[in-house]
Amino acid sequence: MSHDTTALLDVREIAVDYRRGTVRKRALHALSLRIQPAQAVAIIGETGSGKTTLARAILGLVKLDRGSVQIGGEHVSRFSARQWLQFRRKGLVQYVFQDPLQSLDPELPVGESIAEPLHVQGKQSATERAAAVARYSQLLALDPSLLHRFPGELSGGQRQRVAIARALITEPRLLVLDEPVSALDAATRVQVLQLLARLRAAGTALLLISHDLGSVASMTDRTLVLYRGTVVEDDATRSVITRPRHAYTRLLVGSAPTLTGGSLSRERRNALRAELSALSDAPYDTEARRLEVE
Amino acid sequence: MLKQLLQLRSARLALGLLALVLLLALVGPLVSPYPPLAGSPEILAHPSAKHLLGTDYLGRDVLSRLLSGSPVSVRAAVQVALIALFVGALPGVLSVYLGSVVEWLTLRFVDTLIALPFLLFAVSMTALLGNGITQAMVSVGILLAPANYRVSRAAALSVARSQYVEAAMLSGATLSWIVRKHVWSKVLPPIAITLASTLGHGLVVVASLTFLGIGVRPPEPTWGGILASDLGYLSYRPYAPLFPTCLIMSTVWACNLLADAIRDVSGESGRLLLERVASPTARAAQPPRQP
Amino acid sequence: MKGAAMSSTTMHGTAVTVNELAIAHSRSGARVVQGVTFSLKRGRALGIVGESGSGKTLTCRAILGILPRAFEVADGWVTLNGRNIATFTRKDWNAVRGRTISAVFQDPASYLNPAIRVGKQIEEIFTAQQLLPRREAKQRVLQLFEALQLRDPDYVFQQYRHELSGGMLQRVLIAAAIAQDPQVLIADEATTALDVTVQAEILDLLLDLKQRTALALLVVSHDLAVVAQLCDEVLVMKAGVVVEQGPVDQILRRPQHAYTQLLVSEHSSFGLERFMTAPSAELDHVP
Repeated sequence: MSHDTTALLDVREIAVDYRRGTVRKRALHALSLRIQPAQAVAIIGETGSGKTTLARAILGLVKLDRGSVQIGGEHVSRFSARQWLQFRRKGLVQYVFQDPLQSLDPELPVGESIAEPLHVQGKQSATERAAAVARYSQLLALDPSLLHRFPGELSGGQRQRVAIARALITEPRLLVLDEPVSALDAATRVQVLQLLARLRAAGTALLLISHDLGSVASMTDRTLVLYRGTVVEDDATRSVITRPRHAYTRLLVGSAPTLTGGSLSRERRNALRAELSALSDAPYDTEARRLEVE
Repeated sequence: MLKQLLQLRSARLALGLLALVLLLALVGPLVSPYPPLAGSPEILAHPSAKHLLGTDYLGRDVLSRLLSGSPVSVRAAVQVALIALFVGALPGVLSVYLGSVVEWLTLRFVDTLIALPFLLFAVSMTALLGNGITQAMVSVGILLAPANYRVSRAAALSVARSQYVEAAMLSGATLSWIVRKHVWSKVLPPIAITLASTLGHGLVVVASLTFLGIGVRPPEPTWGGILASDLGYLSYRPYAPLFPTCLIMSTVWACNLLADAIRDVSGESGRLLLERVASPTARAAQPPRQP
Repeated sequence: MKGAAMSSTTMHGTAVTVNELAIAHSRSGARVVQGVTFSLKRGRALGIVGESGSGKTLTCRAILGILPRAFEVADGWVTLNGRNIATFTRKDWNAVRGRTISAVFQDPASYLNPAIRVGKQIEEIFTAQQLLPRREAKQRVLQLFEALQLRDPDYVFQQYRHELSGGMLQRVLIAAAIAQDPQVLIADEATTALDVTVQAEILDLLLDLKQRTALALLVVSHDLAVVAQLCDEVLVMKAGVVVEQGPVDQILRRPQHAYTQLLVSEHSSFGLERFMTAPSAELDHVP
């Protein structure tokens, strides 16, 4: 396909194992994924499904046991540490962590945290950096007086916006977000989702990772459903929701509480769960739980 | 950090006391009214205008002996602290960044050290290396190093595995950037705290050893040695042990006070504490949060 | 009610009444919650929807008598089975907690000791006050686990808290909460930290409990949909006051207050509703 060369993110048949002592557990099985520029893709999966592992594999934080990852045409899965450093400096790919309380240095004022990626790049003067920080904090509706505060002094919603501002400041072409709106209140959630829509319209590709289909469905063109390290559904978001094929997807869609009271009855859900456990191994995957990094 | 420390009353007190002791150590021998080794026929005299703290069983002026004994004791305690720093704290931080082999080796070495009984080891070291204060202090320093190692390693480790360090990595930050911006300020306080308390600890060990007569070349005065000889003549001067004891105790207390103060001003809670100290009326509750 | 099996002797009495409850900072007197009024009946579920800072958690804590020291009840009253809780002594509270009123909160793991096996900790509920000998206590715990649909109760009993998933832990804690057959259960963001499929299971369980045992449920959440799924009546709180209150259907269909409208529209604009043209199959909402 002629797509192959223009894809912004090209993940091919990757496998990732987790090892602790002698125990080895495959977290991702032969997973493939492609994201085009300005496309928004959702990866939905429960705890232990491998979704965070996938994000970490794409970002180079985890070694691949098989397969390859290309970003913007570069074979990042073959990078040395130094190559990764130079690549990351370009700021093409950015990541928003799930918990901003942990991903922001508690002893740095948030303004400095936001500026850090630019500071690391070293291409701009202090004034230019300050201007960029001001611009992005305004975009995220963060009051300038907050920039001198420390993460512990801000509310959860404000912290999340700081984390997003930090990720946007290098104007990345691909933004990976882990549970971007789950910790936010209703008003902030709406703001952030609208912002993400604007970013996409402006050309940024989005990779949204969540356990809740409902929170990211409106934002995305395509949805991949991850179950126990395998992609069980990969289709346009609308199709995944209205015509799910795999039992897990049906369970997922049917479990999401809606204002009308859930689209599936309890009996149907239990039937789907039975169907699922028949498909895979032991009902309690304790090994997976112990090796969980998510 | 010093600037922040000075805002706390407890720190000012501690630093003041320690500065006094340091002064004593530096100029003590020079200002002692009598030569410390000079005996006199006035033995076991009570405090008087002539001998401010009285005399000991050989007629030597107690005040002069205490003053002259200061450099020995203080120097020994500082030696201990420095050894603990270089054998303990520094490898602790390095073990986190120099790879798993270095890590494993240092950990096992330190585990061995922790297993050794304290004073017995110091005593056997002096038996091996000779009876000198420095030898005793080296062994004590080595024995106190593991605590410093563990503390600095734990601090470095928690930072190294944090998400904000990972976030900096993802932005392309080098190791030196990460250490400078994120690691240093978080690792320094725990090391400083352990060092301060090691100083106090070292002083107690010095006093204990010299009390037992180890590491002392008599008739050189040391605080512990003076205490030991005082105990032999309690019926004559029952108050005598108070003088060296007070000296030792207040110095150790100042060290621990300093350690506490450093801990109080470090980290997030430290910042909040300093804000409260600066403006006691304001900030009684948390700063207002906006949604 | 569809498919429900209610015994004829089930009481329909009022379990909790809250009247004009106001909570304030002990020192400054500044009110953080004001004018909360509702009554919760047995066999019914009432929901409180609001963001962090809306006062929903403080309200729950006031009902349980566990307000943080910085806060106190400034006005109004709360009755539990007809008794004003302001008159409760410590002895009264000990008698009531767990037996009349109980609660589960967010982050189930933090309520369990990491160094003790989970089963033993729940057993304590029975053995601590010498209510039952050890062996019987263990049997009761296993029965509870089974009732809460933990598939292998023996296995769960033996595990440490880090060996169980979030959903399993929450079930264990619900087991602990209902162990002494309380009449009222408060679930404060009980499913917030869980995966959506697990959340659905837990909500099913709570619904089941309500129907089988006439439990009075107080469900607190920031998610209107969770409340919609489970509750008959809902209170919407914002900044310490109740901005809207009433039967769930009514609130969802015709939200009056701007904030409620925001919550409803957020779901319709960004949630799954947008994609669903019509709700499929049966509705599980209990009228």
